[in-house]
Amino acid sequence: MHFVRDRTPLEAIASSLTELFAPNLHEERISGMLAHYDFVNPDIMSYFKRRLEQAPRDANFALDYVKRHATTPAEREAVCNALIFKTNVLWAQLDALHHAYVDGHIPPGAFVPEGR
Amino acid sequence: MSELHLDDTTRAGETAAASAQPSVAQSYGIPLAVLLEVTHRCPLQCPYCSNPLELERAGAELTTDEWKHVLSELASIGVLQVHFSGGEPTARKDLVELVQHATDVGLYTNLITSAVLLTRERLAALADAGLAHVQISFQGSEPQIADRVGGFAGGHAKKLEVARWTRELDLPLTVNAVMHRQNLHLLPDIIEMAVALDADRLEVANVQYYGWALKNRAALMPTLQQIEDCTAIVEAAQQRLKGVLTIDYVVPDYYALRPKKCMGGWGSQFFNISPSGKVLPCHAAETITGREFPSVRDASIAQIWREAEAFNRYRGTGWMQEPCASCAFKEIDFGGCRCQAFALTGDAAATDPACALSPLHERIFKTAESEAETGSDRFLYRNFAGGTVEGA
Repeated sequence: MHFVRDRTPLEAIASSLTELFAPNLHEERISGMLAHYDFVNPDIMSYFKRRLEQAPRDANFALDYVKRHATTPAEREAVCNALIFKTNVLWAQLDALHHAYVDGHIPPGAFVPEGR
Repeated sequence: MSELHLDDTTRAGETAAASAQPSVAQSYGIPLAVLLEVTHRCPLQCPYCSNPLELERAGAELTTDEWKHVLSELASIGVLQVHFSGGEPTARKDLVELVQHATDVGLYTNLITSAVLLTRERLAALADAGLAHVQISFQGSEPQIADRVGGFAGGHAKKLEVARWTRELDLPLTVNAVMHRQNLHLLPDIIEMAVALDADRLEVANVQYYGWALKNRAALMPTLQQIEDCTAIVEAAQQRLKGVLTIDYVVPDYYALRPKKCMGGWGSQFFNISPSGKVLPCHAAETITGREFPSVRDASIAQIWREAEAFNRYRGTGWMQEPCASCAFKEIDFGGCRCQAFALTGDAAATDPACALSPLHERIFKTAESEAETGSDRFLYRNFAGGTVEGA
């Protein structure tokens, strides 16, 4: 949120380009969550089901926008760096989840699964 | 030519000064991707080759240092991606060095190759040098037809082998298939072949008729029925293979109603560089005779892109004649293809006859139909000797 607030609109939109890779992931996520969590049912999945349609639309908008608006070398570099920044954020999130729930170092105040 | 002005303040000033007709070059910026035709040498002799009839010889090619300079310059002006093409780019002994340099200056690299000259070691060296993507052309799905079209015995089998190496080296693969009357019946097999080779993408590109392909038009032109079948096959496969294989489809526009938005508009999204360094608005641009194309040896690429007469001549819509000038679609398709307009009407500023609004449309449609029915299957093979008739 800080990134989107503080940077240019071009960089903010570019940071959403990770959605280009999302459609397949959303499908895997839906089937995976339905299979592995008994508290997940198809109704709860409606957000992700909507994203199946929305993600490609958002991603195509964002890609078209940055292609049209990033015309100088500096702007194009900023677009690439915004996407790299976003993937780093997602990577750090996955690291944190792995550390907490796979390695078992749950930080204070975070969700604790039943039976832990 | 005036001196270079690249910083933003100067550019804004220039735009105001030239406000009568704002340059499309400035509104789009430099293209994101550039096609580098590093050589015209090629072991294949495809009769629809997109290189000019007058091929540039090895002695005229840019040197290794000149190509490196071009790559550095492209990266510095904002280009993100380069396609190493030809001719056959692997015919250049320095290709690994050039790919490494492109990687070093931050460019994403694609190799557009016939594959027949590659060894596994060389492909691995290219991958180590940072090559990011490989596109291999196929002339068919079986050797008899494919090797005849390419004029190169054993070519098809070698392509299959290189495609497998490509995936073994974990490089993404695009299969490119140029389609025409004599191989369109193989399309379903070509689609299956692309899936079996684990390609991400298949280009089904019907021949576009300039240069060598125009000379071979009677041998290549499909029937209207073939095109209708082809479109149906592609559309069904696109649905069926969603998430497995992306299929890009280029239709032959002799049978179209609307012309293609060629190159995304002349001088707006694309340029290529010829083996000797000529900067061209499209790879067929030299078929338009009487135009001068500047070289990277004479001026900076940024300057050529913004100022060269060859680029500004058909930019935007100001150059158009009727029926284009008053057409509601003029900014949709920019009047179609300049090279095709020149080839078929003798005037590069005419409406592309592929457009149903062109007075010549009916005639070229009939030409296509009659050549598809009665044209000889015999090819004129592409080579440095001006072409060789098949079987002669």
